[in-house]
Amino acid sequence: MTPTLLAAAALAGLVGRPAVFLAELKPLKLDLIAANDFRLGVEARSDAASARPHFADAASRFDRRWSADVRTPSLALNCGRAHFLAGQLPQAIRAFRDGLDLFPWDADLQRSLARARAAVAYPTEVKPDERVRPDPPPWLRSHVSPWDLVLAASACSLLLIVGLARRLTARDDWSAPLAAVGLLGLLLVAAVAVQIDAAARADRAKPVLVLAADEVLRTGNGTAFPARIDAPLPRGAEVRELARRGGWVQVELPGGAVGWVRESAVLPATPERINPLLYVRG
Amino acid sequence: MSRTGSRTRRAGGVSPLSVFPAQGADAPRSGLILLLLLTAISSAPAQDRRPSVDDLPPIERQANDFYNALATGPRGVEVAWSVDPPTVPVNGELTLTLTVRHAANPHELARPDLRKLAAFTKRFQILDRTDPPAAPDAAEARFTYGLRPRSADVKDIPPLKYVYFRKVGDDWRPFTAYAASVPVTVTAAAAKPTPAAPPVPLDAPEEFFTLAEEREPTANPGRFGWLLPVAAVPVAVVVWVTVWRWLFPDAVRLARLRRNRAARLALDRLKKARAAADPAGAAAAAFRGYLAARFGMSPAAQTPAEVVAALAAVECPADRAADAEAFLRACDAARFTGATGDGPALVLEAESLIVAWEGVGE
Repeated sequence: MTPTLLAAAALAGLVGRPAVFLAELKPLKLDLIAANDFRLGVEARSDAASARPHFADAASRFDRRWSADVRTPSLALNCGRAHFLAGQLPQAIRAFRDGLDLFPWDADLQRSLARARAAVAYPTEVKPDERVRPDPPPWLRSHVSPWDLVLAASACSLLLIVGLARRLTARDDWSAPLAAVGLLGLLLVAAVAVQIDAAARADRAKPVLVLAADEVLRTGNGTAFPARIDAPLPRGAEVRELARRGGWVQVELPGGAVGWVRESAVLPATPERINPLLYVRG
Repeated sequence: MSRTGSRTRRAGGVSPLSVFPAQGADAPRSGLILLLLLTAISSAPAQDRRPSVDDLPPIERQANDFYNALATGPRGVEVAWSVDPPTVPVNGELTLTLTVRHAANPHELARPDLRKLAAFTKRFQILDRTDPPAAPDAAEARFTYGLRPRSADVKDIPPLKYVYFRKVGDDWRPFTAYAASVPVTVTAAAAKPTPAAPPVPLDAPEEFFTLAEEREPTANPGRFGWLLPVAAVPVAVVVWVTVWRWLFPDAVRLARLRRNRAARLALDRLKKARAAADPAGAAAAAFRGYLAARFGMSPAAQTPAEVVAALAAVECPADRAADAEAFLRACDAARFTGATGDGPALVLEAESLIVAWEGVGE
């Protein structure tokens, strides 16, 4: 990306469009500074206290890029890693999740999220509905990318085309079964696409919030209400938002229990953007 | 007090009358002048002499909060606190200075002992400090104290009551001045410097210490991108069929022929006959099957002569019967003379016969 940006910046500068030139240079500059902060942190990794500020600086710059620039899996990955190394576990989980919202099939993001979750002190659930440990992501959505669907649909369409064409021309014996296989494949692709779309819509309907600090899950939106479950929700726990009222958020645990937490105890959701115009192959 | 005042007078001046006795009639006038002169001479040392705490009777010196301060002027003695620094952590040390101004005897002033004042000892730990004595003619005297706040609840330096005596007429009368309270800010105890802990390495998965490579972005196919190849299916099929028909017109005719069940069956069998061990025999069998299905010829007819007879029986045109006989004889010839190389040609000939008889392309 860097050579591309450099070339674009140089070209824009050459043709006398300083605005474009600067717009292209800004993310490049952020990239370089963030990478430098990250490098300094890695160099100081033998002393966590001195390394963490560097990683925190890098993370804040990656955050700015995520908010303002093209969102890519690698950016989400770098953002999450920098937050994790800065000791900001909830922000790291948030960054990995933000990346997976856009690129749910990205294996690196999935692996990094799993490792970040391993650092969360999930309580032992007494009842199944009190489970705080998050569910594994839907298999299809986390393994099948839009390009996979396109490739599968293309292959099945090819079979259907050959089968149909041969059936209508040479009337080969194998043409009808071939067309049938192609048609079945396309139906399967359609079913997978519908399933993935439904999972994505369900995800958007109940956005995931990450707890910034340990927080008691209460039965109502006030400190006077008793705790819904005995153990407080740990820092970094992921819950689904149902409603908001008076500085409190009604959330649903992965196990299904519903309760309230203070709005200040959850990380603010990353502003949504339209689907990325660009796609990065994993 | 008056006693003090008279004592002061006795100590400070000498009466001229006791020195110069009366001398005759002229004596009053000259004596008066001399008296004034002597009075002036004798009173001069009395005005320069500084008052001393010794001028007070011992009982007065025992007064509470009296630190030997005497004042002669109308302003009296002024006292004030000053603190440095005004903000100090708990158990930190601050310097408190008491400034006494306008005292007539600054060199005699006693240092107030704050350890005896509960208001101070409750708030502060009093530290030992010493001050140089003030000069007799100093304008002010200063007393410094080291104080250490006992808790963060300490908000101020308490006021200090300061009793002094001032001469009013001939008497020394007690007056009270106050060093006003001074606010101080006591912060939480400064953290004790702990010995530097050994550095703790950052604990994280190793892959987290590397930045992910930026990958080249490509266009996102979107949610319904997979429908694009599906939409291409009918177009591709139409194109395929059109091109195929243009390229292979005979094949088109064959394809039409396959719509007839008997012809389709025969053509399928002929196709298989190409790969058979005995292509001529397989082709002849396929052809006989076609004749039976298409014209109702008896399946029992096997030899060329029997086939011709059977075709005649079902009123098949004679020319077709002759063609069939010729073909079957050619097959027999190929089979029984060992000319296996003629097999594929016979298959093609059978297909040509069927196509011709079915009238495709005519």
